[in-house]
Amino acid sequence: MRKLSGLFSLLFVLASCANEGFLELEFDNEINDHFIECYLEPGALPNLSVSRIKTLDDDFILDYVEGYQVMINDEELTYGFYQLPSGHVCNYGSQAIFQPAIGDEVFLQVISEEGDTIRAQTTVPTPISNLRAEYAHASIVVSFAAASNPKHNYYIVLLRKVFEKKEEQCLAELYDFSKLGDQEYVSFTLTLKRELALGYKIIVKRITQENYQYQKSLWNARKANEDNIVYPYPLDGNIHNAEGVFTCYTIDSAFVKVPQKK
Amino acid sequence: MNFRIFLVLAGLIIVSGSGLFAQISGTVKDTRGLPVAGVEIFVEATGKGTVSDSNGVFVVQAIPGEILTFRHLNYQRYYLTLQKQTQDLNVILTGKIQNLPAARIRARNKSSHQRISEKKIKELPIFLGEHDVVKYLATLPGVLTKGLLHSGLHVRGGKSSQNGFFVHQIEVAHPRHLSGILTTYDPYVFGSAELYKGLFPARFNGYLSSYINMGMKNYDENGKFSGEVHAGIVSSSLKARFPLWPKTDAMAVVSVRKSYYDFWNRYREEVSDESSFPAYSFGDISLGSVIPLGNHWEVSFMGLATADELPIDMGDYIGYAMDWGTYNGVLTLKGSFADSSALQVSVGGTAYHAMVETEGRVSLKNKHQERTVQSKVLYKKRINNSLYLTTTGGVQKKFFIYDQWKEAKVGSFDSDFSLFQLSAEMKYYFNNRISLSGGLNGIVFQRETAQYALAPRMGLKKSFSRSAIWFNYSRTHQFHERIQVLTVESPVDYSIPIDGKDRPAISDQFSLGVSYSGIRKGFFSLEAYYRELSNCNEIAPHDRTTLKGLYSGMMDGDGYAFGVEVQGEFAYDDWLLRGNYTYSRTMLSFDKIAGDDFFYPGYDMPHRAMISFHYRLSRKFGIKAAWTYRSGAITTLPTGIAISQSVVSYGDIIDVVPLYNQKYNYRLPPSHHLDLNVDYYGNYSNNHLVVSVGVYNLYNRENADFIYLVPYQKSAYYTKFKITKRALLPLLPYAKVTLKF
Repeated sequence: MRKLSGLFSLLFVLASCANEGFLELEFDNEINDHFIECYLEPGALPNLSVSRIKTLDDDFILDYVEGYQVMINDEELTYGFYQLPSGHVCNYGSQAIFQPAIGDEVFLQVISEEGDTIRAQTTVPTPISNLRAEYAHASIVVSFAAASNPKHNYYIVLLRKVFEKKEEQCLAELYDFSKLGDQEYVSFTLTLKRELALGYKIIVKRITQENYQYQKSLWNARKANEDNIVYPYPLDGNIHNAEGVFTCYTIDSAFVKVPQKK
Repeated sequence: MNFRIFLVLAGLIIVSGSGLFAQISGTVKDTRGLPVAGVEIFVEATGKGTVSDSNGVFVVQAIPGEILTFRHLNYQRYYLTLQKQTQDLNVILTGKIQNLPAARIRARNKSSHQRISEKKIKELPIFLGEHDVVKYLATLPGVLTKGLLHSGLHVRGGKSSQNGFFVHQIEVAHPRHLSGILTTYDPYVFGSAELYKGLFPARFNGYLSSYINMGMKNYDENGKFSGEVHAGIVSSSLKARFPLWPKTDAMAVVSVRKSYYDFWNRYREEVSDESSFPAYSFGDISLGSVIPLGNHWEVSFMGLATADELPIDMGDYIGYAMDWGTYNGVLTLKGSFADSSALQVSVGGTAYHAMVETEGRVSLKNKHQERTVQSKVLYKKRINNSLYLTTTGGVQKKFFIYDQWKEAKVGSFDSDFSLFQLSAEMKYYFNNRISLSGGLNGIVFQRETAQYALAPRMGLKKSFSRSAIWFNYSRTHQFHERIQVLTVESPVDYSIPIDGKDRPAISDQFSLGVSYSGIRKGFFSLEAYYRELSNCNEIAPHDRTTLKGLYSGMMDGDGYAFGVEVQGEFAYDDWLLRGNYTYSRTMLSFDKIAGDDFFYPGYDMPHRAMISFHYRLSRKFGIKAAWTYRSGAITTLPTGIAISQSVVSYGDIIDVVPLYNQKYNYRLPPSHHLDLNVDYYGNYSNNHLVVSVGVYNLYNRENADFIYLVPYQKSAYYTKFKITKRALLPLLPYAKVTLKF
């Protein structure tokens, strides 16, 4: 019996040794395209990243461009390295705070060194009002007033654990509440896996429909080709003549304290 | 002592080789007691046979425990398990229901229309110990697969969703196991099949590329019970044939199969913490029954139920859990009238369900179901010695149900359509050498509105004494397309019907061929085909995380496919050598893919060659081998890489994002493999024993079943991508024990 199970084990070790190796890439593919990301927040400094898209066999992936003319509405952004609170670095920014009126349309224009024109536009969502978060039995119930414009009833929700000396992000979700109308309330529950934190910080970003579609396509495209079977997915951006996204969001946050067990 | 043992062994080998103690003789008669000449007597274990003479007398080499098969065109097939060595065997054959026109002398057309028997299937190496109709189809010229784990057949440059599977003209569910590895249609129940790649009979429509019509073999075993037990490494099965009622000709057959690879996989995970193949499990049960009603009529029933489960863990952020199953049933009444015309009435239904759960950043559960009810009437009549008529009428109703859950149900959609078909086909023989066939299939697709389509068919053939030449034209339609859930075709892919604004896809196929049958059963054929594809339907790009994306509709495109198929077969004594080569190209054009330029789709594989041989070493041993070469399929690689600011992914400052602006832009390297199988034929307690040991892919570990990108990150902004290939089964030995009782 021992020999038999050993034989079967050997057969399966042989059988299951998936053979991996590297293929030499011969990919005749030239790209002359740009990748732009700009997330505007009312009351914050505007910044934007413009890079050239690299091919698969290039060594340097990030190719920030210089010498482009970048305009958001009438404000010109200047070249430099602007580090965001998240740590990401953009290569164009401005010292003038972004202060649009609610419902305003915002326009982007980028002119490259070669004279190519890249354009995009977005709208400014209304601020989030009446944000409430309540702790209830290993979950947090979040509610706030829905936006009057259905195209602004899309949300990114981030959940951060708060300890004595640090914060740690533990959850990020995309929500589509576009079916809600004016005067209605958004409400959802976040399930907590562990209750080791002192409290939780809930960050809600109200985003545009274009941003929501872009984030989903970004997630799908990022996962594609990580393994054999995830379907390739094109990015769903809103920039004419380039890949990426130009969008605006409003933000609010709430803190919930975890009841301490006696 | 050792020398004496050697002499005994040598004597046994010599004697067994000469078969001096293995001769059986007897007489074959009909129910009136008259001798029957020209009966083929075939020994299943050895592959040898003989023919009865004018007195019905035959002599054949066989030993107790072996099964003898008695075959004659006008009589029901008869199986006999030899109980003892005898020189006086008396066999009585029962007359058969005649549904065939008078036999005509003509050379075989083995390209556009091919007949598949259980015997043919058993001549190939078995993989994981399983014989299967679909695996055999994949070895025929013009029928390609993209690799071992891909569950689709690509016939004459078509998609895998363009093949219809039928039992007695009634459509059954698509093969739903992981085809290429594990079986779908057990030849123990589905003893015969016909593949139509061209020269489609007028009674078939609704699929563009091919029709596979299966039937149940005559289970008449003289009212006796027989069975088989198969024990393999990955799965085992129990099969039996038995009389429904004592002392009647009504027989039934059942085959039950269950895998246990998932248990072995868990054992390996405990041993090594590694498991590079998911814990796939499956089971199925096939039923068949044939009940004669008098001398000219019979009722038959087929049932097939399958259940599969496949969990896939892809890491911390994503995993899949899939389970699917099918249920099929077909009831057929067929017989002939006094004027030799024949009638067949079939009714049947299928049900398919699949559940796909995605666990990760966006957790979703999708369930889809398909149900079909169908009936068909077929009538054949010989008008005179030169003219034959076949007419059919049928109706089919399909239902589609899709549901999606996140935490609760977020979407649901139902759809259905009906197909009504009428067809007429005539075949005229100018003489014994030249025949002309013409047919017309009229089909009505009814959803919100009705769409009508006509599909003409035409075939011209001239036969010589050993050769034939033919020309065929066929038009076919298709009213649905399949969505791929994963990058590879999988059993959980599901169908979407066209709606009122879409037109059915059309294929116009022209083929020209020649065949030659030589001495000693040698055979050669060459056929070229061209297919014009119109209104090709492809699912438009859509968001796969919601049901809404399903209704962005179909893309309408065009294309063409062409190719050449060459095959040859040669048998000599104990040798059978078979080979084929297929050159096949497909080009499509869709305005939303590659900017309306023509492109090669993912299943374009220009070259496929296969050589197989079957050699009976001795009474006890046989060897089978098959070598296959295949061009690489086309896949999609990103056209570029960008670095994105991470606003949703927690813990990451940036995301490295592959950008897909093109589809089908990279061809995998070609693959080739050699499969080897050794069979031992013996006896155990007077029962026939077969032990099969084999290896899949004996020598080549470089075949790329998949490719994907692996990022090597030296810093946050410096990344290099390498294309990694994976051969999921570089070498797979297997063993199987079969006991026939």
